[in-house]
Amino acid sequence: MGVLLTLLIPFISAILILLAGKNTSQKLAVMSTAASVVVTGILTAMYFKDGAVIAGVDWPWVSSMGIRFHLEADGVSLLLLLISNVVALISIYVSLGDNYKNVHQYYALILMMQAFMNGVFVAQDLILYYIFWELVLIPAYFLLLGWGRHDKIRSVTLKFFLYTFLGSLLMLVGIIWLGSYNGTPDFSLNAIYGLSLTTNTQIAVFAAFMIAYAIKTPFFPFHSWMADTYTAAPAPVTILFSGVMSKMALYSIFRFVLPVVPDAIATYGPFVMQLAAFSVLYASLMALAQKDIKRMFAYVSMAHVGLIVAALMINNIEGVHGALMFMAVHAIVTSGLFFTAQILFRMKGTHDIYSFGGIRQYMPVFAGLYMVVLFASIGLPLTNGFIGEFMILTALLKANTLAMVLASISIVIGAVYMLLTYRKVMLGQDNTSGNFSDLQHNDKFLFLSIAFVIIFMGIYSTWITQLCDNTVLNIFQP
Amino acid sequence: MASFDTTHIISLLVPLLPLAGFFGYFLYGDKLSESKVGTLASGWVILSFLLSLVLFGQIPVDGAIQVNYFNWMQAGSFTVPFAFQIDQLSVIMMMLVTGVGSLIHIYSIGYMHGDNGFSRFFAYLNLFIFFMLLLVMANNYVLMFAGWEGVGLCSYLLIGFWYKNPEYSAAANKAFIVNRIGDLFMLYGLYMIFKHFGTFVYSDINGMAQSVFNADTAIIGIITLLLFAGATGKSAQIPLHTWLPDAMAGPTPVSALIHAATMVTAGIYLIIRSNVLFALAPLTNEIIVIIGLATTLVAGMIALKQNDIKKVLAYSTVSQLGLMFFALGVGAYAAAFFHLLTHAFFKALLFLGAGSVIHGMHGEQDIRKMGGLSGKMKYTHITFLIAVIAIIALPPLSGFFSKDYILASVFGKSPVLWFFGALSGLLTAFYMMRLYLLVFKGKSRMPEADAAKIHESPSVMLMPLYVLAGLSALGGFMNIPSIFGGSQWLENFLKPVVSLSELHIDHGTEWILMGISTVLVLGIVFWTYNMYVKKNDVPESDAVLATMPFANFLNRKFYFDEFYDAVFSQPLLKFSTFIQKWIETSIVDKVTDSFGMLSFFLSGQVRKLQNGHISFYLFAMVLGILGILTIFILL
Amino acid sequence: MNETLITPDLVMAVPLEHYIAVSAILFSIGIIGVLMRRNLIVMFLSIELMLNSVNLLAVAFSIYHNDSNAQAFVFFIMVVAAAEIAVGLAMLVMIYRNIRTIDIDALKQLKW
Repeated sequence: MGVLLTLLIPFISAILILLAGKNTSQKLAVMSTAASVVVTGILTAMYFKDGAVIAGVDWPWVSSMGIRFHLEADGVSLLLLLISNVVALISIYVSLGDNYKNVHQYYALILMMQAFMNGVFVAQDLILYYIFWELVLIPAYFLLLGWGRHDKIRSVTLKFFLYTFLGSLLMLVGIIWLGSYNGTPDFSLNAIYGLSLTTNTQIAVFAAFMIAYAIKTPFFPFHSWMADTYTAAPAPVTILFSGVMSKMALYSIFRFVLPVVPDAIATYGPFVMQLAAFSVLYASLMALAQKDIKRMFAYVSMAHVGLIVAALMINNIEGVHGALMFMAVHAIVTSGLFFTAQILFRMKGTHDIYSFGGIRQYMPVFAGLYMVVLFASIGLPLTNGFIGEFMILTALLKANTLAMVLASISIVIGAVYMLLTYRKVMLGQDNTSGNFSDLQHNDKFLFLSIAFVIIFMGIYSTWITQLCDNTVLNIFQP
Repeated sequence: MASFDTTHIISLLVPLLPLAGFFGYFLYGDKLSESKVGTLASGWVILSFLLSLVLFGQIPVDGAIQVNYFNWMQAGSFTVPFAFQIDQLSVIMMMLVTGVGSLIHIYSIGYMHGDNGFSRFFAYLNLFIFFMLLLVMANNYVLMFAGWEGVGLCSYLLIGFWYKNPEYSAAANKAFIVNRIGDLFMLYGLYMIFKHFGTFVYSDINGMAQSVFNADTAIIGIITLLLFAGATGKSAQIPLHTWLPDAMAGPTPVSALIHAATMVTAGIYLIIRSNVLFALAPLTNEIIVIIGLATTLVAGMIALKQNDIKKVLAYSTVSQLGLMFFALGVGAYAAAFFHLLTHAFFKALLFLGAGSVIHGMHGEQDIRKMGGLSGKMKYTHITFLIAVIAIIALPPLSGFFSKDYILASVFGKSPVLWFFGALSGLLTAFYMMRLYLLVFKGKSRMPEADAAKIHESPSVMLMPLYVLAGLSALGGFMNIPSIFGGSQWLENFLKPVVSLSELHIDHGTEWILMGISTVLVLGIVFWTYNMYVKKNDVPESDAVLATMPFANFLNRKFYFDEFYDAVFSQPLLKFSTFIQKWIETSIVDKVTDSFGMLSFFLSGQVRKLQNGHISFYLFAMVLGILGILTIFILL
Repeated sequence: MNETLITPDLVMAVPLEHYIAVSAILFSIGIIGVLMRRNLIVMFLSIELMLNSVNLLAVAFSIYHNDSNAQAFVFFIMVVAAAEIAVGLAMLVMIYRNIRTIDIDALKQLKW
């Protein structure tokens, strides 16, 4: 039942918030996400204690089509649940600092999104998984449309929705193909794992799935929705998008692509790997060219997820562990980055890098914490960014030198754009005027926590590997 | 995991104490008084130094202490332990870092007096000591790399310490980014090491090196080249040397600690640490010799025409580091390490002396505006003179022994190389004498009013100068060569780590070489004395300098910065804007949007059918039904 | 369903082909009416004609095939047609009140 709780808590809270009205919504949202984190934490502790998969529910649903309502969490699912719920908590905390119109609807939608994303990570039935996957789009759509900030918010939202939806439809085709491969329809994960597919089928399924995931992740050249969406969305929603929604695709690659179509990966994996690695370089160059700090961070996020895709395509234990590690890393770091952008935005009402300057002298605490996040993002050792990056690139060199070189150049470029931006925004003389009180209460607490997690994970990271180890071993040594 | 004994605790405390100082800053911030903050911060490092001494006493004669704490990273066959290796090499480095570190902490109490960021400065210094200790204590390449990048971070923080000055923060960025380029290659080296050795731990790799080398001779060559590329970044060798002179933007104690004594020597430490690998890669060694020699000569020449007291010292540091690499390239590891130690003493002393001068002159750094300071700053002058004699390698101060050791080893390899090494020594002698004479001797060249305000530094700053002067003078006795009847203690002590150094030449030749270089250096001393004191020459002003092609070329540092800016920095930025403009918006976005546009277009065409006339719809419907019926009937 | 239908001889007296022919003619007249006329009321009348031609056919087949289901359907159709006429005429009145005509070509608002 614990697994079901992770869905029910945010879902029911969302309804409660809608019913309760505007005054209590902040409190309820914080309580709900905190409870989700606690529940997930307890589940993780249980998993560490027993080493057994956390059983959820397994109800028949549409029996004639072999669809079951089956939820279950193994190590990797738990890691993703932790990511999802912690990022949701961060997102809610970031939201507290701003005034949103129709605040109860806003929080309800965020919690809805959290609930559905949790569903994606624990669904053990492909149709159920697909339903959660698409359900996530609905609150995302309304959050972007209703609270986004862009001249052409309608067209941005439409592009985001249609583009990702199109990819998902391809995935649905793939799912139905897999589920009915044996004649009698059976969409349960175990049945899918048990299939022995011909090479051509594998390639077709691989293509259908990977296009969906390439769009959602996103990596080059499927990313054109990303920059606008991430920039237009309110910061807490951007945090959810890049922190969790992109993880949905990465998790799915791990869960539904690697074990199901090994032959296709053996043939086309290197190509995808190099494409993703190129995407890292491309996104880094793009980040260098940006003048809008939030847009720059969007490309930074894209560079990081590209690295994860490349790592997954290595398709061995070290690569996958590196990818899972970097997922957790990226969730935290990207939250920190977009939070930084939001704090700057609150000061001057803009994301333009050139309109800031000299903030360091007024906000030393913020300056220090921004620096921690910045260095985590460019992979300085003893921050968590280094751990993931190092594990991935080490594994990548063994698999594909070209991909490694493409992906690693961003180590230098990353330092260039991050430090140039930091210098423009924070250092130098004061050439600005605005509201410059240093971080207070919630913001300070949240940012300190993020920095703490970044450094803690940078020093003690093996628990994540241990959490995922059984699942990963199951895939590679059945 | 081994059980925790006292060695575990002590060796963990050595780096953790300075780290505690760093985190302490967040607790007390700017609340404590300057003297308390300074005492506290220095106290951590001094404690750390004492613990290093304890560890020094515990080292077994021919082995190392391995202390394992936990696994830092772990996935499948990939393991990175968080573990220390305390052996002869690392323990000396630890003592150097904490020892010189403590002195510079104490010095900084005086130097940074009254600065707004006083306690922040000490926090950064403490953090630096932590990372530097991590670097030298690590038992594997990855943990060493953590320290390696960490000191780069501290260097960044401290160069840009006065963050309100945009030039300083630009210099900080430059230092970090140039270092990152080196680090990227070093990372490649680490990935390669894991690919071919399956581990990062020094002792395992050293054990396997021979067998991997036999399997494929190119691999060790590539790995060592990549590691060396990393070292060129951190140790400011051509082509990545340009950041170090700019790094002088930081407070002077920082230049002394980070950019002279400790951090920049990390590259030399790395290569000595990997000497088993480098010994198997003859081609890499050739390259190291060339790069080292080129750096030492180029930097020496640039230093001839610099007029900023700290820039001269910075190029001197680059030049001396080049000399050390030169020695490493010919396999004289012990000699290079010996020079590393003596250089740490006298270069730290030179920087601190320069800091004392700058402090006394209220921020003036141009040597053309100094002169005749020996009377006004008596103690600074004496200690500075000792350092100068040490660096130009006049006997019997420390620099003489270490430089002579390098040159003697090089001569064993090739007399031509010796000639270039000796030439570098002459350049050193010239620019150091020029610096010394222009600052302390001759006539005062500053306005009267300013001259009256010059004062000797407080004793808290002078005390470290005395200690370092003592070390610079006597440091050479660590390794007195057999030619003087010495026992070569340092070399023997390092035997377990650095096994080979068999480049000795016979005593007769060594005497001759020593004689030649000493006589030449003395000649330069008299020449410069004649020029700058007797004739009272003053270096040209910038305007005059611009009319002198070669001098200007030297003054502008061989145009390295301009070259890099034109060839790398600007094109990179332009390229990214180009991609943003022509690939992202013009192709990727357009292609995606064109799908949307296509569907709009098609639906627009189809929409024309729906003209709103009901009768037309009815007609179409009937037509359709008839059509369907016809098809059914025909089939 | 299986019980035999009591079939009036009068109905059986006319051959099935004639019923088919009549209803086909009626249906065609209805179609032509709908397509050619512009007056909504006439179009309604034509639609009714088409419906009734189908009804006629259904009844005829019902008897010749000895199956009463079709007759039940015919009643349904008549009831639905009545309701449809009621709704349709009401709409017609509203249309007339709004645009003062019942010419079908005046109604182009279906296109946005």
